[in-house]
Amino acid sequence: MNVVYALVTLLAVTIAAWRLARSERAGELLAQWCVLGATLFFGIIYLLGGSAILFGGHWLKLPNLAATSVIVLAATFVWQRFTAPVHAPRPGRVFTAIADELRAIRHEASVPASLIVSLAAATLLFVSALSLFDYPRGFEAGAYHIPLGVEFFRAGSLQSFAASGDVADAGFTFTYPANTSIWYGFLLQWLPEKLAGLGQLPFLLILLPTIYGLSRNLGADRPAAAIAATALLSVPMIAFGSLELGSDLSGLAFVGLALYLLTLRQVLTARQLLLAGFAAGLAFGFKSLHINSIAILGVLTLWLAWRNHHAGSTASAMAAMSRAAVIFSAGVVLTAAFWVIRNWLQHDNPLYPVHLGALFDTLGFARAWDYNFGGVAYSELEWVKSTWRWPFYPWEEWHFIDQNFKATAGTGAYVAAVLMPAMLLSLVRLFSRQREPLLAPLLVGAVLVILLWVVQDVRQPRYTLAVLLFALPLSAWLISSATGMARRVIDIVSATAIGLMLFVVASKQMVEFGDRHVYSGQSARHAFYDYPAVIDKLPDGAVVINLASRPWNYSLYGVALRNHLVPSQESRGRIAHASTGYPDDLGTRFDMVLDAKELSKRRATHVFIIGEASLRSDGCVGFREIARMDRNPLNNQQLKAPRLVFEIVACEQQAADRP
Amino acid sequence: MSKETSVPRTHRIGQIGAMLSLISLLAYLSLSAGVANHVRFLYASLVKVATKLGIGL
Repeated sequence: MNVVYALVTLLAVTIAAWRLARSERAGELLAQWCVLGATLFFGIIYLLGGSAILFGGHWLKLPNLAATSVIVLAATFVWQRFTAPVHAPRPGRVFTAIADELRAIRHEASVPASLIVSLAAATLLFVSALSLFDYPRGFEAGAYHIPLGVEFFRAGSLQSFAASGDVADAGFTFTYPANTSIWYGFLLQWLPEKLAGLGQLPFLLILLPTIYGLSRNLGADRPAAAIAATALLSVPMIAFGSLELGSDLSGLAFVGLALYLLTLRQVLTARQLLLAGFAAGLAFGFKSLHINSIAILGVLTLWLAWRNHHAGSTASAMAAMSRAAVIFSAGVVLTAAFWVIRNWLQHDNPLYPVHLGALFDTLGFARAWDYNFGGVAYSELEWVKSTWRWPFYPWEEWHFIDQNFKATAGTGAYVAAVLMPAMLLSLVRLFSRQREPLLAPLLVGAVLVILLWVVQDVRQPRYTLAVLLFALPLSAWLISSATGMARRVIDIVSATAIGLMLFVVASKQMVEFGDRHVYSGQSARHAFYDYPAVIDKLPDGAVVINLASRPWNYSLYGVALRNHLVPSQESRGRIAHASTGYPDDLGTRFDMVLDAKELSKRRATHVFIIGEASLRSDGCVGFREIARMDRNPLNNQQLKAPRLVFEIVACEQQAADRP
Repeated sequence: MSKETSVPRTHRIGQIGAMLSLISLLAYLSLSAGVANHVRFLYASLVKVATKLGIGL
């Protein structure tokens, strides 16, 4: 039945968004449809999940979601009937326009450009097909994105996840804005787990035409715009990220849509501004880092509004800027405010877990119990050998302990070969009177993303991915600028760079597929995630305490997500007291005392741990080892640290068990 | 071949861009630790498969 509810929800939201979208241009129509569809979908979920927080109950369930979506669709029809008559655009017209555009690209593109676009499409299909055999993957996906989504729909509420009712959250990562988790939780309600594992792909499919559209807005020709869009797929962090359940692509897609809508035409209409605001607010909900992107989009909005009126009086320019700022901000607030208000209500701090020291203390905003601002700057050494080497990262792409390209590492050959020269040359071009109107805003946007990244503590290359939205169109501009032999050279360089990275992506996925599914036969869930099979056979209602590291959280829900979970962050922070520290799966022996009262509050039944552990409790509770995985099941080699499952037993039972 | 574009064909920028991108691609191929690691990864995988099939590499 869940499939029916989910399909009704998606269909109702899709039709309602389509009826509300309005434009003569197919690209703009599609962008509006995406933004409005997502706004309605998440808006309805905020309404249900927020009502549950305010009034209690379990409102966020698929039947309620389907019913509310149908009501919204009906309201759309009624509203449009009593306002100005609106003729909904015909989907056929949009499909025809897309087909015409693809034909034009094929007609205008050089051989290398045509080849690389076709190869990219084939690679995307190939790696997606291989990923269908995998369970959901990703470090942060396992640590909190997916567990939070599972818990939202179990609780029927959008409150932060906490396994015990007397704490506000299981850890600060469970308190971030969580559109990503909502999306994964929704998919897992009605799709097989392996199919839900492709939950980021739709956002990649939004991003590709968005880059194309942005490049065209800048004035690039069709083949150049197609190359720039294809190049996005060649960025390892994007390609591998689209096959994991992170939040980078989804956030990026909505920043891209906002930017596309803002740069569509000379005069900013109220509809453009409002929808761009919606998209920017949704991006914040997917990844709170995009508060930076909202600031940058805000600056660009003011700039574009001012530029369109600077020929008139200062007063008219100021009026245009104020109007643009108000409408854009209203859009942002409408889609982003839910998370801020929720955290204020639930955690006494609208920006929880962020705490700005004395200022927030004065305002009475709470500190997170487990959030530590310090000690994160060193993390950049995972990607560069020292801070001063960051400018060379696109060429060096170093990663510690010789790791490979992955969702968090690697910008790829196109960024080094074409995008970086394009940024440099567009800077030169700014000194020309004939410069393209959008060149400066896009270049400034890219530079601002980098500057904001430089000043923040946590420097991961994936936090700069928004640069691609601003700079890939610049690369299309550079390609468009070239003629004759220069164009042939730059087409071949682009095709080579993209082709090389497509080979990297396809070959890595192929090797991993061969290793996991052909050689190792890891088709069962426990074999894929490498946990003892007993986790899948625990009695109904089992509550598993995860004392291993965070990424193990999601896997411990077991097959068909039957188990309950006390995540690592909460278990280590509130239940366990390790006298010798947490070895993080390195195999050290360690002693751990578990708080019996905290175990009882959470009705814990089992403990999962990695490492040779000696478990004790401070109350009348014991631990009986029921599974031990200390050898690789495939080659029988000793694991560095055993994976252990303990059953929690009461003292009386423990005494009775003794011989 | 006609290309609809509003970007002026600025020969100099296009030529410099083509040259820079070629040099930059060569620099990338020489310096990228990512590519080097991937080549090692593929070679190790190939050796593993060959060993499984009883072929010495």
